[in-house]
Amino acid sequence: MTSTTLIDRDRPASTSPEVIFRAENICVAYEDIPVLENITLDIYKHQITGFIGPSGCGKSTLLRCFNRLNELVRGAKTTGTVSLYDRDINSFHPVEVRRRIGMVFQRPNPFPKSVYDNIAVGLRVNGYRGDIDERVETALRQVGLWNEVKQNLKKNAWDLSGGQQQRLCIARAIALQPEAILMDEPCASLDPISSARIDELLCEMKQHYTIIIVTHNLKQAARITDRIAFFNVEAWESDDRLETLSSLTHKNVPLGYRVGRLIEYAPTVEIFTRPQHQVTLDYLSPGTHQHSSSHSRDRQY
Amino acid sequence: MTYQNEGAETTGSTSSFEVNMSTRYKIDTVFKYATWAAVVVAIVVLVVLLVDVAVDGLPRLSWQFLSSMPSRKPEEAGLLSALVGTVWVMILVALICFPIGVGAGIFLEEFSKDTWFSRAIEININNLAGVPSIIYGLLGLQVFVRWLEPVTGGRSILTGAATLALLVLPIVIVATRESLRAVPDSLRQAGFALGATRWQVVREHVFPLALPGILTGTILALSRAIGETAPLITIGALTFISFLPPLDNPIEGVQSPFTVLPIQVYNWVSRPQAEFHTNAAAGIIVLMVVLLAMNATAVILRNKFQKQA
Ligand SMILES: Nc1ncnc2c1ncn2[C@@H]1O[C@H](COP(=O)(O)OP(=O)(O)OP(=O)(O)O)[C@@H](O)[C@H]1O
Ligand SMILES: [Mg+2]
Repeated sequence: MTSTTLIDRDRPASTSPEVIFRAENICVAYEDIPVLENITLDIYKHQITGFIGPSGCGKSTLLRCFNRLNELVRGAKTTGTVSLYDRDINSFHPVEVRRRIGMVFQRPNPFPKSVYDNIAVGLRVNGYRGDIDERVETALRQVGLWNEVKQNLKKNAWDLSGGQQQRLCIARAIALQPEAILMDEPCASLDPISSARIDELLCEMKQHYTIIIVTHNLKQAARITDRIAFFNVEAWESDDRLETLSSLTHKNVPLGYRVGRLIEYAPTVEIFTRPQHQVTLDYLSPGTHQHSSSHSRDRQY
Repeated sequence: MTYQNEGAETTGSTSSFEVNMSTRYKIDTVFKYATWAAVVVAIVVLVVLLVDVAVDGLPRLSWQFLSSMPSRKPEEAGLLSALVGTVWVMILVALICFPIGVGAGIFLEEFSKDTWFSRAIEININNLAGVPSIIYGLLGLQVFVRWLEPVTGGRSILTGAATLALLVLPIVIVATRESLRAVPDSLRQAGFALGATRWQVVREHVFPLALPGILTGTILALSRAIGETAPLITIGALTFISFLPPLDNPIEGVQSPFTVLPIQVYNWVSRPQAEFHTNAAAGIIVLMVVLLAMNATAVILRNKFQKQA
């Protein structure tokens, strides 16, 4: 289904796109239990990068590493480095990192304030000097929420529907005009029309911003992303006990324990047409297992 | 797998579920009446207490009673000085324990790292809430009456308020932390993700949501403080005060000797004459009215903030 829609994007737009984020050997553990192991990948500027993979494989966790939000999660421990334009993000003040890198969360989390204030508060805390009303309106229009809320911008955001809340959260993030936006399943609770509106928006925004999007919707991934990283949960094997992990956790994690790994990272079209691994293929086309003779290294799924 | 098999078995018939519901309904009813009985016991005790006090004290309540100083003659005695003392002390207690308690709670919950040190502080604060009030009286006597005499003026309103504030501080801190903890973490994350500093997140998003709960905790704390007698007697609050603290000079005001309603009541109860016991009953009514007024104010405040949030 996908190969036909993606004919013209066999290669990334420019021959050597600039790297904005470089993640190296990222390992994350919650309460001494590792959930992500040795993730290394580059995110290219002005592209949409999709993270896909089964539930619980650590996509949200990895996303939170890019804006240093994981360090606020109780019990989370991260090793490895993420750099923003070749500079370790740990050398920035976390507030600056989060100011430059916006985030939309998996579960809509508007503030219990008015619709207007939800967007204005982000502008205010960052000392925005321009016309706040105007920015609020632009952001709401961009996510297609303006017509639904313009009558009553004072309405408490918690009284909006789930999908409206999610679009408000997207508006809140883009109102700050960040350099990059991390989006954790932004369209999970949206109807097809709003979802298409967001897809369109993301493709427009790609001109100026870098977007990382987590999604379970493979069609969406195929439609809008330039590159895709596929993650999977895999069992620990004995030779996996690397030094990086021993520095991460004190617990003796049992063999067979499941941890998230990056399986494959490639341009979208490659992932959908020529996946290098059997698990990727199985994930992309569940229920069809007749490909076992292919070139994959046959990991356990 | 087992789960699925069971599910498959039961789809056709309801045989694996209890069909007879009457036992479950019966248990439901029994439990309802048991809890109802518990409420009745509590209410009856309260009503008996109130009626007893009201019968004794209401006839004695009059403007004269409220506006007179204590006296050796029971029919001339009033509780003006005690009432004024209580109001002064309560205002000061609130002024002292609200900022300190809330500040400490915010620090412990939002700013401090989860180290052994902060855990030790946490355990200590929880324990402090259970220390007998007389101990605080002894502390107040040493610290505020003796060491800090130049500031507090000795056995003064300020000393009493500071002692009571220490006494109820743990309640305010614990209540603050509980209400901060009840604020969903997703809101903090949302705030941080927009590039807010920790202080901005607390001020803009977390504190307004926690405020109603914090106020409730503060009301509880003040209600406890208003009825305390032992620590105030320990620091040497007088039982016979026939003047009011000067209002025109607040510094001198808070440094003057004082008495409070519970001490006045206690004093009257321990007199042999029956008329003084009537005065005591009337004093209790006044104390309760003050308490209710204070709680009502706080409830109104809380509702106001709740609507805003
Ligand atoms: N705060 C936390 N404390 C402890 N464990 C956590 C925490 N957050 C996530 N985990 C664990 O880390 C693993 C990865 O979680 P994560 O939310 O990153 O998955 P995900 O790939 O985003 O899944 P989904 O697609 O369902 O959103 C899961 O096993 C989860 O149980
Ligand atoms: Mg997730």
